[in-house]
Amino acid sequence: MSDAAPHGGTGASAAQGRWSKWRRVRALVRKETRQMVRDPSSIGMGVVLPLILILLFGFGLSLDVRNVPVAVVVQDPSADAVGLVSSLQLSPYFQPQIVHAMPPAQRLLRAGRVKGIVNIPSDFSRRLAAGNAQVQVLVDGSDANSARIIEGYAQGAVGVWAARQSAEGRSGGAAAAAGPVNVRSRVWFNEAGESRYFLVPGLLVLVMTLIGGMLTAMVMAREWEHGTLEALFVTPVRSDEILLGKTLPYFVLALVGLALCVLSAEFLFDVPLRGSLWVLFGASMLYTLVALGTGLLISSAVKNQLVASQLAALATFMPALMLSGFLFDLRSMPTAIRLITYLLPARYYVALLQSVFLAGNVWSVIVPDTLVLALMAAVLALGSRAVTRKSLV
Amino acid sequence: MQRLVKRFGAFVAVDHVSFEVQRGEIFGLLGPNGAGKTTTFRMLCGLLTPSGGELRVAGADVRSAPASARERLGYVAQKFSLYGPLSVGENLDFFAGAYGLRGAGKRERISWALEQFELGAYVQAMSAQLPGGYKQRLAMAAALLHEPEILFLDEPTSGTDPLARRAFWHRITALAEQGVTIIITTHFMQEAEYCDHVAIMDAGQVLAQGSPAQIRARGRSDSTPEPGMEDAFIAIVEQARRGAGGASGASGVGKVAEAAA
Repeated sequence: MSDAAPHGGTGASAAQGRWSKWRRVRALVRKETRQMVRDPSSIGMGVVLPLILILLFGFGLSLDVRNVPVAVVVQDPSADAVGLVSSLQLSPYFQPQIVHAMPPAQRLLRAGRVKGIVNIPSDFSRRLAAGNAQVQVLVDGSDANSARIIEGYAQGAVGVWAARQSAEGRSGGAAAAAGPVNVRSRVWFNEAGESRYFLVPGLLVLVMTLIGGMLTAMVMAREWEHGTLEALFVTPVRSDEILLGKTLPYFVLALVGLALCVLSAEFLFDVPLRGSLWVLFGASMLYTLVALGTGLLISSAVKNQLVASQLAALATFMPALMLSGFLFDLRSMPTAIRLITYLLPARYYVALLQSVFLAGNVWSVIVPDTLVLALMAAVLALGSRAVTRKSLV
Repeated sequence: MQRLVKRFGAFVAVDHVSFEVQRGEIFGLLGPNGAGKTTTFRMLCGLLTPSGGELRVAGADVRSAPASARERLGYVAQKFSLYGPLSVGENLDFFAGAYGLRGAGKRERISWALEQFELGAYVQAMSAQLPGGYKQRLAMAAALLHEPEILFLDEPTSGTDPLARRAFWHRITALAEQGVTIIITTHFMQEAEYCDHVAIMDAGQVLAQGSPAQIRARGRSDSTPEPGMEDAFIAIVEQARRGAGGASGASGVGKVAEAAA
């Protein structure tokens, strides 16, 4: 209905039509900005929530394990065992508690007072001299994720000790015996093992999704609910102008969120930015458009703020959190779910972010992923236009 | 408009409704709730696509040229449908922009609207906090900014006090004198007297149309030799409903043809 050319015919009137089109868009943008600024929920979601997320993810939430209480069972009073114990004590990852037999250690583990047991058997130094020393590591597996991390750390700590031993030239067989030297794990692009190096860039995905998807999901539905869309539709305003008028202010708000995240990543958390800032901004703008398109599409389709916000959370925020590769590794997901992630724009954005922040300009990632995002943005823009126009009649 | 039809699934909300409104007249669409007044209205404004029939607003076919048709009409919805978090001035500014006004012309129209509807003192006030009567005036001001040829008013007086209603009709008649065509729905039968022509609708059909005097004449019977508008209205609707239930189901349609002739 809204789509017939306002002025047909001569070039002069077409140009005039274009001018009045831009005047209408300008009026819409100004109106939308005023509404946005006055709406506490948009400021909350667009500025306050990102700030909270940044602080939470940057300082509070960490996937690193530090100061883990462990029981160290020392059944061998030899100098070698004492050396290993003090090496564990010096490690920032452990808070060892020394016991001298397994039963009290097991009691501690069962009571949840320690997360693991490092058992140094009584024949430790004898077998060390023989070149086949063994250290037993028991880990509380109730939290599988940290269990694996603790296990790795414990192996690492023992390995470091063994390596130092052999470097000092003592008991030459120790290095070979203490197998952990060989299972030293290495984390690429995050040498320090700092999880905030990938959490903070990943935050961008959440913030952009919040502003783009969740906020805009409300705006068209709000107009439907308040009946204001009717007042708009009787004016010469066209549906694409309405959508444009809604997109622009939220796009700017998303850029503010983006700047906030990038600045805090760089200056507050010292996350390296190894790729170019332009790629980062380009990819972020594309993703924002995709999120805006999703939000507007949902909003125009369901026409109810509550349903729209829940649908948007389900369709944009949750997948961005869980299925984008931001928190959970995509490769460790079941194939069916991994296939679903290919439909999620957040997945491509996270890949872009991780590459730009931690690896540099990896064009083999950047080019295909930005193309996918651009395609999604175009499809969503056309889709929400079609839905808005159809719902008119 | 000719033989206008709107179906929602199997439900026919507007059933072959036809009427014609002359430029500069006040045309009242009367009927009980659910009669199809608002649906007819929304089709006239281009908010709904008719399922059938022909519709011309200010000489333009609403279906083929909705944008140019919309530039010539103003619409005030039954429910307040301006932006609550925006002030009176900002709402007017926005709608002026949406109608493509700018610069001096825009400022002039806005100050005209503020003066005409006595909203000057409330320019800064948030629209959501305005009292009901002021909201309605603001909605009318916004609908008239672009000097439309036709003004559609959907139940504008429901929920306003008699004093405000009189002031409202005073404004409406003044607008009509300036050549603006007014199409209005109402269920206050006394208000029909302000209209030049009225059409009475029930169950999606026009039961009668003509000047208020003609309508009153139709309600004349032995028991009420001098019927008021309300008596006439009730008589017409009841008669049609009896007819629809009985054998002479065509009586309503017959009346339309008669009134249109």
